[in-house]
Formats: sequence, C-alpha cells, structure tokens
Amino acid sequence: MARGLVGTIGSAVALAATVFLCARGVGGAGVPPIGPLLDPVDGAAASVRYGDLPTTESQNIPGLSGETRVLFDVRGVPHIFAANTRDAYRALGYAVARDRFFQMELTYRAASGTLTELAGARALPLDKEARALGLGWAAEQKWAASDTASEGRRAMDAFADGVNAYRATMTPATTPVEYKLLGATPMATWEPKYSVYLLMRMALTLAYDPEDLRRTRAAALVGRDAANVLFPRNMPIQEPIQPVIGRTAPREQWATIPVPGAPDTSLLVPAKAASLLEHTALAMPGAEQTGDALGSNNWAISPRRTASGGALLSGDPHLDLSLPSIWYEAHLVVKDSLDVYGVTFPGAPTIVIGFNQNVAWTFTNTGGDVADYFLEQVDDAKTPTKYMLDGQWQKLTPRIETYRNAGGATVATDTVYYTHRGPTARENGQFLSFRWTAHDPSNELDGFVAATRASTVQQWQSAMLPYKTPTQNMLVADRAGTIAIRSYGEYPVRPNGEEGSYVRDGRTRASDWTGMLPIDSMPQVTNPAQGYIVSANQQPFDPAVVSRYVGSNWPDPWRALRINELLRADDKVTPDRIRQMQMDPLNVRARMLAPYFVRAAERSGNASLAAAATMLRDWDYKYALSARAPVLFEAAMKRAVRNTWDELSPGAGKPAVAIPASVIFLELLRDSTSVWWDDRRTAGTVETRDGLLADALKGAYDSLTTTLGPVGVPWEWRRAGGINVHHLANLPGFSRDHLPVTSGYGTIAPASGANGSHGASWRMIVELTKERRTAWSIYPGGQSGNPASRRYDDRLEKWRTGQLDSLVVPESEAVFPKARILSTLDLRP
Amino acid sequence: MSFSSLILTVGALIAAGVALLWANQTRNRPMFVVLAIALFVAAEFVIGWWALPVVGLVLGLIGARRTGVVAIVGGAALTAWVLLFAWTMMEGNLGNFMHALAASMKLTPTLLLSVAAVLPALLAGTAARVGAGLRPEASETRASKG
Repeated sequence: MARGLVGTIGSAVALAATVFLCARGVGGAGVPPIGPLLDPVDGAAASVRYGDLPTTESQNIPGLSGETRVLFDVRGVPHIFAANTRDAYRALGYAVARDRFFQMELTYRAASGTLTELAGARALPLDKEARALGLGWAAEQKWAASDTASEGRRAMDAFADGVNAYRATMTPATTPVEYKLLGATPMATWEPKYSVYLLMRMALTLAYDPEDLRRTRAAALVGRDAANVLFPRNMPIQEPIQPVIGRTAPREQWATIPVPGAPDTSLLVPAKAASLLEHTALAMPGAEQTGDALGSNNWAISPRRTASGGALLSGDPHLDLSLPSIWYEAHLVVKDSLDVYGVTFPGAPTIVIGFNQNVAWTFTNTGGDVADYFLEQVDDAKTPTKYMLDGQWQKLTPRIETYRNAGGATVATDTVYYTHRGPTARENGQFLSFRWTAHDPSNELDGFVAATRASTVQQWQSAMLPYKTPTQNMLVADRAGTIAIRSYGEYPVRPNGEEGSYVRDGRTRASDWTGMLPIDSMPQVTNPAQGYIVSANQQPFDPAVVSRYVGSNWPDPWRALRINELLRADDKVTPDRIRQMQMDPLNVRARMLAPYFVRAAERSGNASLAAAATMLRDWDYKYALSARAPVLFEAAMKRAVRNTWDELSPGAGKPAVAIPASVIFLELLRDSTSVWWDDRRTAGTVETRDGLLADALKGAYDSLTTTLGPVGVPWEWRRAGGINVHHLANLPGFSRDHLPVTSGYGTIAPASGANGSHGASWRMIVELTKERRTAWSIYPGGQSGNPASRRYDDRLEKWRTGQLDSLVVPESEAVFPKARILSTLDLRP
Repeated sequence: MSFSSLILTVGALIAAGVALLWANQTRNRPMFVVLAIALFVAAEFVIGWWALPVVGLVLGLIGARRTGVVAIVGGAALTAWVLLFAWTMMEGNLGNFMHALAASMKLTPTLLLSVAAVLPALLAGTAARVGAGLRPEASETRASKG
C-alpha cells in the first residue's frame, strides 16, 4: 500500500508540474504555455480552420443604424455597402479587426510604449524609447485637443464600435496565433483614440530623422565646413519635385568637398550626447550606414501624354515590409455620398491612399526638417527639477512612466522630463530636449476623411489642409485631367533664417522656432507644362529657383532621375508602361558610379583586375535576376565607401557616425586629388582615388570568388540580392525571406540588399478618363493576418514578379460581379 | 462556441460519461476505450486542453480496477487528439502551418510533433494514475490480481 501511495503522490507531483508547464509556460526561457498552444480545438491549429472566410455570415454591431452588407471579393477585399458613412466605418472596423487584430494591438502598443503588457519585460527597451520620444504623450494631447464633433473623431468612434463588436465575438479558437505563442490575451477594448497612436507611430517611421544629430557628430570630427558639404542643404544633382519651367534635363552643380578640418570643439558636448540618441530601434531602418537612402515614388501624367487621353497616377510608396502588410485594402460605398477604394493602416478608420469615382491620390515622404534637438542646462544632472532659459530657471515637468506586464504588475518605472519644447533625453550626462512637429495637436484624420469625398483635385487639396504630420508629397489626379502635387505638413521656421542643421542651444528662447511655413510656401505644382509630375523623396525645390529652407541632405536622386528619364521619352504612356516602370531594373546610381571603377581598374594595369573590370564594363546596369555584375558592384561599393569615409569614424574599429549619400560619393569621385581618398588607417601610405577604387574592386572580386566560387550561377543577383518580408513579431516561420527581386539601391523599386526588408509596400495605378476609372494594384502579402490562411501571402509572388491585380470597384451591390464574390458578411444593429 | 453547440457538446459529454460507466460495469473493454476517446473529444470542446488532466483523472477513478488503465487512458487521449487534428487537416494545410509554427518557436517540426503526441498521453495517463491511486481498494484489488 505504501508503494501505491508513493506512486500516487509521485504521479500527482508529475501531473501538477506538467499542468503548470502547460498552463503557464516558462516565460524566462521563451517557452509559451504549450497546453493552450497545442490544443487541437482552440490552440494554434485552430488558425487552419479559420483560414478561409465563411461563405455567408451575419453579426451584430451595437450602434449600427441599419443593415450593412460587406462583400469580400476573391482577393479578400471587403466592399462595404452602408446606409451612411458612420456605418461604413463601423463595418470597416469589424472587417479589419477580423483580419488584423494582432497587428492593430501591436502597432498601438508600439506607439504607446505598452508592449510589455503584451510581450513582457523583453519589450521594455522598445517601450522606453517610445515614451522617451513622447509618442504616447503627444497622442494624448492630440486626442484631448480634437473636436468631438469633427469628422475624424466621429470616424474613429464608429471604427472602434466595429472593432469592439468583432472583439466580442472572438473565441479562443479565433484568437490570432501570435497571442497563443506569447501566452497573451487580446486587449479587451479598442478605444477610438488608439487610431491617433497609430498615426504617431507612422510619424515616427516617416518624420523622425535626426539629421542634426548626425551632422553634429560629423562636424565634431571633421569640422563644420566639411560636414556642411558632406551632408549638404542642396544636393549636387537637381531634378526637383516642383519642376523648373523650360528645363528638360537635370541640373548639376558640383562642389569641392573641403579637406577634413580640425574637430569642432564647440560641438563635442552635444555630439557626445547625440551619439546614443541617433539610432532608435523603433524608427524606420534606413540605409545611413551605406549612404544610400531608400524611399517612395509617385508620378502622374497629364492626359496629353497618355495613350487613353485620361490622367494616369502611379502610387508606389516604399516602407519596411512586413507580414501581414502595413496596408489593408478596402472599398467603402454609401449611396450618393461615398465611393472610395484604396488602402488603410489597420487601425485607421478611413482610406489613406486610393481613389474615388473622380479623384486618385498617393503619397511619398517629403522628409523635411521638422525636428530639432536642444542642449539643455539643468540644475542637477541626477535629479533635475529645472532648466535654464534666458538666465532664469524654469521648472521641468516630470512625467512618471510606468511599465506593466499583462497582469498589471509594474515591470519598471522611469521619469521623462519635459521642457516647453518637448521631452528630454539624458545621454552621457547631458540633457537634450526634442522639438518635433509631430508632437503638436493635429487631426490628420479630418483631412483623410474629407478628402475621400472630393470630386476635383482642388477640392481634395482643400480637404487635406488640416494635415500636419508627417510631411508628405501628396500627388492627386482627377477625371477632368488635372494633376497636382503639394507637400502637406508643417515646416518649422527657425529664427533669423537659421537652418536646423545642428543641435541647438537650449539656454535661450532665441533658439526656438518662430512659426510654421504657410501652405503656399510648400513645394507644389499643378498641371506643369512638361505634362507629368514625379516625386521620389528627392529635394523638392531646385535652390536655383526657390531658396526656401525645408530640409537638407535629401535622399539620392537616382529614382527621380530614372523616372523622369523614362517619362520624357514617352508621350503615349499606358498603365502597363507604368507597371513596367515600377519594376524597372536599371540603376542610375550604378550607371554613374561603375565607370569610375572600370577606369581605375584599367589605369592600374593590374591583370588580376581584368575580369572584374570586364564584368562591370559589359554590364547594362540592370539588376536582372540573372545578372552577375550587380553583386560585384555592390560589394565593391561597400568597400570603397567604407575606406573613403574613414575620417568620419570616431575611433579605430568604430563605424562612421554617418555616411554621406552616394551622390556625394560621386561628387568626391570627380576630384581625383582630394585628401579624402587617403585612408588614415594605413600609416605611411597615401591612397589615391584610382588606387582605392581598384583595391575595392579587387577585394570585392577576390572575396566573392572565395565565398561564391568562380563566376557562375552563385553570383547571380537572384541569389545575392533579394528582399525579406518579416513577420511583424519577427517570427521566422511566418516570414518570407530571401525573395529574389530585380531591385537594388537606386532602382525605381529599391531594395536594401540581402539582409534588407525595405521595398514597395503598395503599387497602384489609376487611370481616370472622362468615361471611367480603372485601377490596378498589389501589395506584398495578403489581406489576412492569419499565417494559416491562403490570404496571408497570396499576393506575394505576383508582387515579386511585378504583376498587378485588376481591381473590382462596383459602384453598388447590384452590379457586383457574382463570380468575384468570395464571402458575404451581413452586419445588423 | 455558440449556445446551441455548447448544449449539444455537454449533452454528448454526459451521454458518453453514462455510457462509459456502463461499459466499465460490464467490463466491455473495447467499448470503454471508444467511449474514453469520445469523452476526451467532447470535453476538448468545452474545456480545451484541460480535458486531458480532468477527463484522465475521472477515467482513472472510474476504471481503477482495470488492468492497464493508465495506458488505456493515455492512448485514448492521444487518439482523441489525432482525430481532432485530422478534422483540422480536412479544413486546410495543417502540415505546412505546423512547420511554420515550429520554425517560429525555433523548434524542428519533428520535435513539435513529438511534443504534441506525448503531451496528451502524458497528461491524461498521469492523471489517470493519480485517479486510480485515489481509490486504494481498487488499487489493492488490481495489485492483488497482479
């Protein structure tokens, strides 16, 4: 009996331990609760059963004023037919939440700095960054300042109704698999204000570019004269967004880069403080370390240059790609009131980029200088209470930030101190305060909502006037054939015509912004004489024509040059031609830089360089999947850039504080005798331009031969290039990595290389003739956030190969083609 | 789960339980096994993975006098999970998804599959052992039968 009892007790202990492991997991070891995860009914496997949309379904949404029908087409796009706009937003909230609830919560939490409540203490660094940047603080201010009767606010309220109606139907089985892997519970309620947090998250992605920190650190090493040319206000090749009348080719104005000067000692303190602030894990990963910025494109063509005689608009925004996609496609129809199709951010209550019956619109990032850092003097570096302003101590406003876990227990606390300018960050014993237009009260959604109903370009532009951040080049076209672009958003005016190039002196109000530029001062044009408009994040004004300061160190002009080149050569543009342009593999950057490598190799007389030089010389500068030269060129560029800008490294073995754009590298290439070519790390040897380039080419060729073998299939761009589309939470099984694409740094569809995940997030072409609107689009991924669904990544292969879907845009339920209906959802009050 | 589905499932649960008691009384071993599987399946829909320890414990108590009750219960639980996964496979590509899930957990698919197979047998079997042990007279009878 004793043995039996011992056995029973032993079994009970083993059972208790197994049950505990199943129910709780091992948080520290990253083991999720495996009981609910593996449960065949409600666990991860349930995602498979809910992968497809039901053929028919009906649900209730409290607050809905009438029956609303949602028809999902075969691409998984909801077409919402509602009695009024508020019902349409409610239905949108329901549809988006059903497909993307985890994404919505993750994005909100990333902006509010509450990821720890979803993912535990491991998310603490990200939450601290978000709160240090004042994202949640600003969202609260915007929400509090918004007019409760405004269209944007009412849209957010209605959208939240729909989200919460879906949340109420969520069961353990339909809970997204990510929650099960995290051992977390979905948030109970989506509050309307969370849409504002989402916009703050986008502002961080698109408008947080601490150019002044970068330039400050560079100037502290090589002096202001050199830094001002390496990271210039005006770029040496001008193909501006606002076209110059009569100009038919880009304008070049090359400077000589000053020799590296003595370190600017006046900048040592702010540079030290800036060193830790500059790179935030939350912001969009750019390509600063290689000097090749990435970005977005849009262009529009007037009827007189199109084959159909209607206006054509190409939307091609680029972002960090993810699965599920940052975009969600939808169509909202309210009889005689609204008929808008396009994409929205999951969590935003209306269409952001798209078209209605008469107008189409799309954006690129302007990237103006909308933020400044100020070096503050505080009374006590450890526990500050005051900061100095014009000789008087002013009170700092402390904000206690509490970080909690899913159970509500405090994980950590810290204090963010605010000056009148914004939040401060303490780095290296110094306090930098942060003034950013994105912190100011605004209600972008008022603009987005009103713009969806515009009938003309002019109406659309007026509707967008409330828009403040992030600054965007908003391109718009209408059925009457008008095309126009204007940069929307707030651009600060600094005192005495100053520019926001360096960390500013926080001890005086004289450093503060004095206002914002009026809308008429923004880069803009309507129906230009050239018959088309192109924006690709390039410098918007040619400084020879407009000297107004709106920013500096603009992204490289390569994409803008190529798009303009193609459009100048074609006065019968078709939608399919635009599709081809969006995937154009030719790289202007390579076309302008590669010949320098070839000439350097030829001048060197080194026989071992012949094969490499031949490969580059015979190249057509296209990043075709079978091309081999792009692999060599990119490897050689990487070496050349690293060895050239050694002066910008703060010490042996340390990476450069900032890398100039590749067009600045081209500027330096024009000066074969510049002292910048000397690599200071090789004492006793003075490098020359051609020597450095030849060495970089040889080193790249030899290295590739070692790692890939003799020139052959392994050298093909399809293997060495590629793009990664990571899952939002970086779950490798739900990611799609190493997709071969005809893209590279500088191509119209840019890609950041084998380890990159930046690319075309949404391609759209809209043709607006007097008779009809026709549209095509694609984005990488699919409508569903459920990795077990066919709709999770069903568009990926088409996107990769440059195909577009023809869009179904029925004006009413009655004309919806039956064969294109996948699922019907009836929503009732 | 809708209210009507819940009622149906609970009804099935009660019916399976009653039938199982009958099968145990009449010492109908195949019927006991079938009903144990049915009980696990039905209970899964009501209490999820907790069905494994709970039903296992109950079956251990009920079948304490049976030889090999731990193995029977563990096997029934495993079979129930296999049936439920098979049902899911009819709805979509479970294999591909489990591969992706394993990769996301940084596990090999084989290891994840092994855990999914061992878990029901281990939990239900251990619970049955505890259940059987809670009826000492039954344990003694079973022990004396050797």
